[in-house]
Amino acid sequence: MLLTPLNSIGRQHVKTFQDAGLDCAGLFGSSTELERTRIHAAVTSRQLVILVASPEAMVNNPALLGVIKTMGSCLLAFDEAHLFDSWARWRPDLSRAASRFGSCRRLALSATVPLAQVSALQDALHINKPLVVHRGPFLRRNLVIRVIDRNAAYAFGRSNRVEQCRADLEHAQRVAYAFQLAVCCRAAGGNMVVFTSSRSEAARVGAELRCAAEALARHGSSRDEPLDVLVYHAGLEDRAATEHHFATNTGIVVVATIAFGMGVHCAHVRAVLHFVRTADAPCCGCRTCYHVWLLFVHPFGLAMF
Amino acid sequence: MDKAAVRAAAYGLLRSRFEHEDFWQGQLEAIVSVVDKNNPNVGVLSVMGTGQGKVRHSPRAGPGGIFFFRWKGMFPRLDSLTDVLLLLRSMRSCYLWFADRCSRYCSVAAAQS
Repeated sequence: MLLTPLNSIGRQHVKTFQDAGLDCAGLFGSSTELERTRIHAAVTSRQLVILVASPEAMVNNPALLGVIKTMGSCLLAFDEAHLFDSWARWRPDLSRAASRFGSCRRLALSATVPLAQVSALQDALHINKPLVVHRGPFLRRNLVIRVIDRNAAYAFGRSNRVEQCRADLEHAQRVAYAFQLAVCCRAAGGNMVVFTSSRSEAARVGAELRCAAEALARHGSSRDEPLDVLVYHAGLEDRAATEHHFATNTGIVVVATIAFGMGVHCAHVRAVLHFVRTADAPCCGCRTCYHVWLLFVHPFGLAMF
Repeated sequence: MDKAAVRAAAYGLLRSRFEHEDFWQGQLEAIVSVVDKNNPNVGVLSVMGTGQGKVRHSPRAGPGGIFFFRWKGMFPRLDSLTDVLLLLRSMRSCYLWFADRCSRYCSVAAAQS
């Protein structure tokens, strides 16, 4: 059993295992009744080697859970394990799912578990003590992480016209920077992701980037097609199409909230730009502090500057 | 299954099914720990960075910037001529506000005179 709280990663795992010739199936909230029936039959007949599932799909399927408990599972693995602790408040089914399985071998996989949170994570995943911990290397030669300090006006309230003016300027500068970076990413044969803090901001930035791309193409400054800018957030219906388009094509910019593809392996991503400070970034909470603009960029794209 | 056999089986599966030559650092150790025959209910936490398959060096640290003026975030940071033009453009509302105030002042002054 492989439990993952992020469906897009789960679907990618299923594809990886199936491509390797392993009998694997995925059970998510969006799975159809027919798929659930097939998975139930495959588990009952012991035809399945790996079942990748979201915690909610397992908790809300007591029949399948009972079959798995009766037959026993060799290994229960948790992907993005840190989320089972940090997201437990607003997704209680994460810890519930971990508790529904009997005693078995458990493997927690994550890239971000601070030492102080290991004990809490162990409790959330119902892992017996003592816990065996392996830590791999984190220095990655293929990544450059830049933090650019920006004007704080963009992050706080705009009580007067001067502050509004400064915020508009800051916004325009960030959009211009994002557009330059996106053009470089496309020239390098890759894609780019721009993370924003809200749906409305994603729509706004997406519209401005699209407008800038069309203006560039209209003035004949670019010989290529206009930049392909897509907006992605939880309020849109065409999310699956956007994910597929992003994963299979290059030269695409996706402006999204954190609902988009965290942890998904996509080899042709050249830059990930955090347009504003996200919830995961530390909050200074003070008006005089600089607003940070996090920029995670691949050197292939960075070399263009 | 002893540790040597686990290692051999893991390498065989890695090469035959997933077509990789070697594990990343820390992966094989986690596999050996999780199939430990002496501990049937073992719990293993494996923490490692993702996406280490793509390796490329960066010759430069990144884009530089020209600091025309900046003081604790009070003023905008201008990196290029485009930023200067954007500043002028975004201050359009200030021009309008200033022109509005001037016209009001002039009209009041004219009325008083």
